[in-house]
Amino acid sequence: MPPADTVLENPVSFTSVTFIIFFAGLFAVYWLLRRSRWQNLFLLAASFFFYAWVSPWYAVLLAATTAADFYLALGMVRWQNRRKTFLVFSLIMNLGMLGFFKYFNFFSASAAAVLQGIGLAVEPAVVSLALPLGISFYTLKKLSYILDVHSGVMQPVRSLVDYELYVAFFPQVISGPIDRPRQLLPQIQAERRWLPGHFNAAWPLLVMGLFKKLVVADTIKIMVDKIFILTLPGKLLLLCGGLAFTLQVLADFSAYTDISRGLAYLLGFKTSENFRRPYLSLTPTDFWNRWHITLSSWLRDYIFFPLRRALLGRGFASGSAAALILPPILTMLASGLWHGAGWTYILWGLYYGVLIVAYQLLGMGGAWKPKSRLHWLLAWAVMFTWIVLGWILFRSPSVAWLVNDLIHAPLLTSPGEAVAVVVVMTSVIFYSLLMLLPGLLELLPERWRWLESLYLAAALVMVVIYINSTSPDFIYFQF
Amino acid sequence: MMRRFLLFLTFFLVLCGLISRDTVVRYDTGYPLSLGPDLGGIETRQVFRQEIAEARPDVVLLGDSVLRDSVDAKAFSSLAGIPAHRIAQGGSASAFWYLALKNSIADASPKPETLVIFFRDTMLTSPGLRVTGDYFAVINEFAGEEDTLLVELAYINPMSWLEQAAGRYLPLYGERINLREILETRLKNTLSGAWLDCRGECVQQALDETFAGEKQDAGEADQAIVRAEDYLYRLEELNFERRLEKSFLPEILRIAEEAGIHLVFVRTKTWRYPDLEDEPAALQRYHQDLAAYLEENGAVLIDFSHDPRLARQLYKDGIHMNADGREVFTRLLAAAFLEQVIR
Repeated sequence: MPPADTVLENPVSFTSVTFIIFFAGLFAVYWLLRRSRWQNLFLLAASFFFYAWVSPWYAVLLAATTAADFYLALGMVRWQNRRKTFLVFSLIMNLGMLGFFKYFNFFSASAAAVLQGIGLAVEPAVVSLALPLGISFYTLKKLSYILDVHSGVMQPVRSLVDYELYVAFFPQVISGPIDRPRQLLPQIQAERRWLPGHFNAAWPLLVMGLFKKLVVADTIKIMVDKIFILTLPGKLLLLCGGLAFTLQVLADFSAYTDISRGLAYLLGFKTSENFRRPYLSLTPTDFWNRWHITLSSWLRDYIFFPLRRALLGRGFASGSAAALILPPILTMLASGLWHGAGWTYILWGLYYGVLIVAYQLLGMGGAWKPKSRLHWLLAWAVMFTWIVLGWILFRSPSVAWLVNDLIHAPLLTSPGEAVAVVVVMTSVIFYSLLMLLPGLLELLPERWRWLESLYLAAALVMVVIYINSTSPDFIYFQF
Repeated sequence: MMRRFLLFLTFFLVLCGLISRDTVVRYDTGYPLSLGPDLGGIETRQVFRQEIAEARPDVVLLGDSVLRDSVDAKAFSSLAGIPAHRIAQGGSASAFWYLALKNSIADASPKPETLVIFFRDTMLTSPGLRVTGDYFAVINEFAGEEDTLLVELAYINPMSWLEQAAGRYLPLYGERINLREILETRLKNTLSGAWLDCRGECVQQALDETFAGEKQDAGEADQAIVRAEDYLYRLEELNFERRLEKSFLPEILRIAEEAGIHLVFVRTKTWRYPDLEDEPAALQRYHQDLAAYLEENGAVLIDFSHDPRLARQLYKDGIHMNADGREVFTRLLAAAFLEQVIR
C-alpha cells in the first residue's frame, strides 16, 4: 500500500516530454554560464529540482545526509584520531537509512513469519513509507566517498556544492551509473568547455537508449508481465518468460545507462560504462565484470577485497576453503539484497555466489580463457543458460511460486500455450536481433560504416512509432 | 564524427519521408492529418437501447467490471422495490459511460427514471482513461461519426501541444498505432502460421486462453490492477476544477437533465485508501469539490469509499468484490438508494 503522500508523485522519466523540456532549458542556461563554479551551482539546483519534483521531502533528506557526509569526511582529516568514529557514524547513517526504508518491512515480515512458525502470534511491524527514489544508488556513491577518504585513497573535497552535485547529479541519481568520487569529482571541479566531441559521443547513446527502452524493453515487458502473473504457466512458457525477461532487463537497464551517459556527455561529463555485452560472458566472474559494472566493481572493491584481506590477515591460506568460498558468497548475497528486499533476490545473489565458487573450483575463475572455438561455444552456452535460469528466479513473484511451478506445471498447460510460446519467442528473437545488430555492424570494414548511421536512423523511426500516447492503456493493445 | 551525425539525420529524414508518404497513401488520410481516431465505418451498436426496451427498468446501473462483481441487479430490484437493469461493461470508464448515456440510455423507450453510475476516485474526470488499445474497439462500437466531443475530450485534449503538432503534421507519428499494429501482427502470425498453421483469430484466441484472468495469480493480479489505476492518482488528475471542464461530467449531467433522467453517482470502495485518514489531502479536496458540484447540479452522490462495513474479506482483489461482497454491497446499496434517492 503506497503511503498517503507518494500517490501524488509525478515521476519524471528520461523519456517523457516534461523531461525533454526540462533538459533543453537546462542545457541552454548551463553552457551560457561558462564558469564551472556557476555551472555546478546551477546543475546542483537543477538536480534537486529534478529530485524534488518526484518527492520534495526526500530531496531534503538527500541534501541533509549528503551534507552530513561532507562534514564527516572533513572531520576525518581534521581529527585524525577520531577517523573511525566519523566513519562509523556515516555508516550507521547511510546503511541505517537504506535498511530502514528498503529492508525494514521485509525483515520485519520475515521475523514475524519465523515467530509465527514456532507458534507465537506476532504481527509484523510495518513502515508505511515509500522508498526514496535512487536510495540504493546514491547510498553507494556516498559510501565509496566516505570509505575512500577514511582509507586515505582520496582527500575530501572542500566545496559542499561539488560534493552535493556528485551525489545528486540528476542523470545518475535515480538509477546510476554508480560513478566513483575519483571518477566524477575531478570532472566537477575542473573547468568545462563545450566541445563537439561531447555531442558526437552523446547522440548515439541517446538514440540507442530511447530505442532500447521504448521499443524493446517496454514491448517485451508486456509479455513478461503476462507470463509471470499466471498461477501455473507451463514449463516451456516459463522458459520463454525467462528468455524474454533476459532481454527486457538488459534493454531496460542499459537504456537508462545510455541515456544517463548521453545526458552527462551533453553537460561535459564522461561517466562510466555499465554494460559490456554481458550475455557473451563465459563464466560467472566474467558476467559480473560485464554486467552493471559500476555496481559489481563497487562490491568487489568495498566488500569482496576487504573480506578476502580480512580472512588472509587472520591466517587463512589463499587457497583455503574459507578464503575461496566466503568472499564471493557474501559479496553476491549483498548484491542480491541490494537488488531488492525479497527472498528471490537474496537467492539470486546466493545462486551467483555458488556459481562463482563452483567455476573457481573447476579452474574457470576470472582469468580463464577457452582453448578453442568449441570450448568458447560450450562455455558460452552453459553460462547463458545459467544467466537465463538466474533471471527466472529473479523475476518470479516468489520462491514458493517458482518451486510450485517447477514441481507441478506440465511442459504445456494447453494447446493454446504452444501458440503463445511461439508468439513470445518470435518477438524475443526479433527484438534480440535488433539489439545485436550494432555489435555486428562494428565488425564491418570502414567503408560499410555508413550502415551504422542507417541503423540508428531506423532505430529512431521505430522510437517515433513506439512512443506511448498519454493514457496508460495504449501499450496493452498487442496482447 | 559530425559527418556521421549528418548521415544519420539524412537517413532519418528519408525514412520518415518514405514511410509518411506510404502511410498517407495507404490509409488515405489526407494532409495534415486529423487528430484522434476515425469513428466512422461501423454502425453504432444499440444493444443497450434494446435491453432497456425489453427490461423496461426504472433504474439503470452503469459501470465497469466493479459494478459487474459488486451488484446483483435482481437482488437490488427486489430489495429496493424498483425494477433495475445493469449495464456493466468490463474495462469501461467515463468516455464509454458518456456514450452509453448519449447514444442509448437517453434515447431509450421507455426511458429509465434514474441512472446510477459507479465510479472510483477520479474516474469521472479522467476522459482519456481506457479509450485506446483494446478499449478503442468497444468505444468505436458504441460511438458514431457525430461523436466529435468524444474525440476532442478523450483523444485530443490529453495530448500536449507537441503531440498535437506531431500528430497533425508527421504522418509517421500520427499513424503510429496502425504502423505498430502492422509490425506486431506480422510478429504474431509469421512463425505461428508457418509452424502451427495458426494465424489471426486463432492466435488471438490462443493468447486470450493462455493469459485468461482466471489463470492469473490473485495477489499478482491485484498488484497489477493497483499499478494500472495509478493513472487516476496523478497530480493533474486530482485538481477537480481544472479537470472538470475537460471531462465528460458536465455533458453527462446536461444530457441526463435534457432527457429527464435523474442521476446518481456511487463511489465504490477500493483498497488503495480504505480509510479516510490514509487518503492524500489532494484526493480528499477533489472529492469535496466533486460532491459540491454534483449537489449544485441536482445529482446524488452515494459514497462507500470508506465504509467500514465493506471489509477486506469481501473483496477478491483491490477493487473487485467476491460473491459474499456482492451480497453485502447489494444490500447496502439498496438501503442507501432507498434512503438517499427514493426519500
